[in-house]
Amino acid sequence: MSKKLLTAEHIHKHYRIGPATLKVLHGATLAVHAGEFLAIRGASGSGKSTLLHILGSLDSPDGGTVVYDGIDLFALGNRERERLRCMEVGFVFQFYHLLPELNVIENVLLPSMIASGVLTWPFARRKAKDIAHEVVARVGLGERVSHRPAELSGGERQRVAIARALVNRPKLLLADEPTGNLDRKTGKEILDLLSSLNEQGQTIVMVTHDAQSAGYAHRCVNLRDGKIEDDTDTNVPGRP
Amino acid sequence: MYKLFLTLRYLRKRRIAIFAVISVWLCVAMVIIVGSVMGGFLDTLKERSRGLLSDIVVDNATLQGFPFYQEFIEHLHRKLPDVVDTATPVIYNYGILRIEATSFTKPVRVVGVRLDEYKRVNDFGNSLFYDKYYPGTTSLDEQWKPYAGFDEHDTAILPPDHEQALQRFAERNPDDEKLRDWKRLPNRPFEGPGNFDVNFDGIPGYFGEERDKAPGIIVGCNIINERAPGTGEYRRSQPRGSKLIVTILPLTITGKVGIEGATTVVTRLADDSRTRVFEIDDVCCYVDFKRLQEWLLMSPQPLEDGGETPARASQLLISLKPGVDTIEGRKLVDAEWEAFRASVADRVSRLDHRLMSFVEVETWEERQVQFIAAVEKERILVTALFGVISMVAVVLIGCIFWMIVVQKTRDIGIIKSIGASARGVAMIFVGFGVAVGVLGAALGAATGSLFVWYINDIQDFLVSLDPNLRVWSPDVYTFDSIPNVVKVDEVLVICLIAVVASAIGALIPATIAGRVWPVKALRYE
Repeated sequence: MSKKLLTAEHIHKHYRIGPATLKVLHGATLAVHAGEFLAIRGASGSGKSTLLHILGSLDSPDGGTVVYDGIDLFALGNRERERLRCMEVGFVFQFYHLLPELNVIENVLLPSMIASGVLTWPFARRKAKDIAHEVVARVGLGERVSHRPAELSGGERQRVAIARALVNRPKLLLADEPTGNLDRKTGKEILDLLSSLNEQGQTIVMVTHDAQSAGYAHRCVNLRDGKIEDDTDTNVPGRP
Repeated sequence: MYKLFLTLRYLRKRRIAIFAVISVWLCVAMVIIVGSVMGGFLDTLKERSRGLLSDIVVDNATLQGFPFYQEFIEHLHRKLPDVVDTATPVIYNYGILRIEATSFTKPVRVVGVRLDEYKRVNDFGNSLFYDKYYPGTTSLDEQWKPYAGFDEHDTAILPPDHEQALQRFAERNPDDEKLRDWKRLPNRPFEGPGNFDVNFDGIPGYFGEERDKAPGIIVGCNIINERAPGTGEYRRSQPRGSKLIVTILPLTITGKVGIEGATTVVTRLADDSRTRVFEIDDVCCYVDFKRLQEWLLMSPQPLEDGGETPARASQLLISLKPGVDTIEGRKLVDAEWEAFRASVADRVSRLDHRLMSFVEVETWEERQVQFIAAVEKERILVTALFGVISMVAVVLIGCIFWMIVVQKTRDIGIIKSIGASARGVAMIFVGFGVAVGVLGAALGAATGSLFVWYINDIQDFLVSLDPNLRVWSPDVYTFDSIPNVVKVDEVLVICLIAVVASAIGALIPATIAGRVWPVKALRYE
């Protein structure tokens, strides 16, 4: 068994909606191993996206700890956490979340720019661009680098989002319903792409409500009533 | 790097930012135009005030004046030879001016000057019309009227001294507009500079009996001349040498009207003066110092004990040697006045002593401080008002950035989700504000400066379309043209304020943008 890259223990999270309190997570615990493709399944509104956001430090838990590569994420200061989010974690969202003013290559380059300062960028730019072009080619959009998101299909946009998530070569890729907004065929292409990335060593945590999508993962956990219910080796049954 | 990249990209792609840029642009241009025109007005006024007074003014602000002025002048030359250049006495009083030919009357301020000295202590010489075109012909001494005549070709000519003077001027000033376009044509009256009566016998010169001679008077150009609408050029309705009757009220040393009552004297128009300060050109006329002193009984008057009163002057104007600081000069002159007053204390009467005790020594700027301060305050007030109006731009930028931040909330979440810091996100929007400010300020500075530089041409163009569009009429204002000097340092300060204001306008929305949790921003619909 490879070493644990990420562990989340006893994660609690609630939201206030007016006078009511909505308890989303209460005591969710899971571990992600390096090189693993983990799927988190759950019904709509079960808190799986919330859990993923907490794992990636996009949101903070009310209780519990998240340890990434031996570092307690929420014991870090904001700057360190932002730095870690930039360099160590890549996010892929259901709605792609690309910046509409930027073209494909600019969207993909953005994390490299964030990682670089104004003074160091002139020296880092060439290498960053080479990597961005390489990543864009890997996701099959080498011919569309100058297109804006509005000129791309849903599947292509998600590929751009994946390329952006990968450009800083993060150890962990978090994908939140990456096929949720795509048709079946395009969704399959995206899942194939994620599988292929995983085969190349990329650790992936994917949130999905779809059993077939979850089937692409090595392991699938269910989130029910705010807790991780079971932890199953899927043996990739859904993978064609 | 992403901050600069996104700032510039948003500036290019967010069309709403154009409105922010335009508002900064217009506000900067507006403040530059108002500040430059008002500042130019003030600078010109200061320049002219200095030119019309002198470095130092000594007076006691009474119509009776003060005695021993000549002794004090000599005292100054003796004690401060390296400080005082020229000192000249001046008398001020009020009177009524009547043009004999038209019976037109006007209240005037009568100023007695020693013309040569007066021209040395200030720029008065440059304000004289006839002295410009006919140098050396202006005098306050007794004089006849000069008549134009005709030569053997029936071309109008002036008396020889005038013709020679005009020739000298023309040689020195070949580009003078008045002379450049002027051609003498036969059988036409004299159409050169000024207004001269014609001797229809044909011979130019000065005619009359000795009793027709009268002291010269220089009148403020607005007193007897009219200005042509539109061009503002003066039309000299009275020929040079015309009789002007001045009525003045001599005062005793105690300030009462003298027993002889009003004094009426006949003078001849020697010249007109255009200082370009309305308050002076509209009321002041200048006669010889000694004559006015006599007319006003300010010359030595016999006393019952066989002695006589000392002569009095209203004011002393002192010009300092080049390089002498005005304030320092004023302090030295003031100290000398106190020393002088003490030195003559034993031989002055009680009344003279009283008049001398009122004397104050001031610099030209201190003298005009009330007037200059009023205009300066007006300038500050107007600029501040426009500055307040410009605050609208800051609010507008705040609103626009608020809208942009609201529109971009999801982008903010995206940027933060890929590692951008709260400060970095805030800096994108502050940078956006600064970029809007820099762009707007640059456009405003260029537009405002160009507008000010060409303000007179713009007005001329508008007037060519419709004469009613003239906003700065030279026949109303003493300035021929709208001040059009742009001060680079002021423009830079205005631009800096605009940039800072734009950044402030963007700061609150930017701070809010920076603080938003990425996950909240990503969920934003």
